[in-house]
Amino acid sequence: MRQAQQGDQEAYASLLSQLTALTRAYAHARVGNVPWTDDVVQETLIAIHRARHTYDPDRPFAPWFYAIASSRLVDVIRRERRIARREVAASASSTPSSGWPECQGVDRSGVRAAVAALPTRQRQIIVQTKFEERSVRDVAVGLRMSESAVKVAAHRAYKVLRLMLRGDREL
Amino acid sequence: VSFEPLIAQLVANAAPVRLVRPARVRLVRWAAATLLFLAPVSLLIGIRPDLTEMLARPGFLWSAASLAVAGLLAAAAAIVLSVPGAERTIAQRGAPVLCAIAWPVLLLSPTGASGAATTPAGVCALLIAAIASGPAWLLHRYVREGASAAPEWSTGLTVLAAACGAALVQQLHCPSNATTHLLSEHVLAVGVLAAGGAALGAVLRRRPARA
Repeated sequence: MRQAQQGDQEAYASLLSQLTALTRAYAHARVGNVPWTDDVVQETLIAIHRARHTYDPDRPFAPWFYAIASSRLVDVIRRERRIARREVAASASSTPSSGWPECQGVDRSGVRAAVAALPTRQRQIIVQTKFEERSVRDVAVGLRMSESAVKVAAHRAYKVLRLMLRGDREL
Repeated sequence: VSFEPLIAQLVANAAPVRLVRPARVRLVRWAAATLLFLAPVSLLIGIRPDLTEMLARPGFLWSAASLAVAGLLAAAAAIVLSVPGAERTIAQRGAPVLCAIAWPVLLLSPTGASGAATTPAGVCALLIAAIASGPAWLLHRYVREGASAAPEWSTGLTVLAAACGAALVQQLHCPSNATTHLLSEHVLAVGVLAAGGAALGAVLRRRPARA
């Protein structure tokens, strides 16, 4: 981490790769095998990146890392509960929100790069619903998912994309 | 799921960073700046005419001391929380809250304040909110230097620290000793402000961070 703070990209890539596995194992140990483990990993990596200036090289790394991972895990759990509640309330809706106002004025190549950085399942859903303009039902059938699961995954992907596109300079 | 594209993007944007300043440096600077802000404000709004007499009452004196300690502890906790994993024990968050709770208990004790209300309703609460805004803004800036993993606590403690400082100034200014006035104007104002800060932090936590 010390090297990463100094701008050593190779060391940083290696660290993030190791932390990916560590975060996945941590989430698995805390909440078991859940479908949103990748969300925890994704958000933890982004949070680590944003908070990397707060790590004190004279202190142990583990408390710093696990404080971030734990916080992200709690956030994802809360969000999943909110989404689940909202899903029940809005089950009548058949498609996710149309249009993408947050991305108007954003460089298309930037959007595509951000989409490419998404986890596979989220990327497939965004590409198929937004770029290929397929219906949620079609996407759900193609990916062997429920329509609700597609909408939830799309919602998560929008959040991450917003984070990545707005925070591009920080990222 | 592969995170290689995300990692590649993060790495591509990983410029060298300037480390956050140590917590004690930020705390000392905030405390000094707050003192420099509150002292002239206190002189500007005036000091209660019976202050010498009130300071002779142990309850009043200790309640003022508990406010000052609560403010400092809350500021320290807010700054410590801005560094993930730096908090050694949950007591760091609890101590300022306990001190803040001790304040009205001491203030309303038999040796604290007692008497009739002489200040118009609403004035003290508004003054506390107005005075607290300066130190709260400054402390928020120091907290934002880090990256708190518990924004609801950071923001709540930030506002609590500033509100305690403002309530201390107001306690030295307001000539009213009425229990209902002190509870409804001074104590409630600090409580509502701190709770509002915590609620704001909770909202911020739910929103994605912006550049």
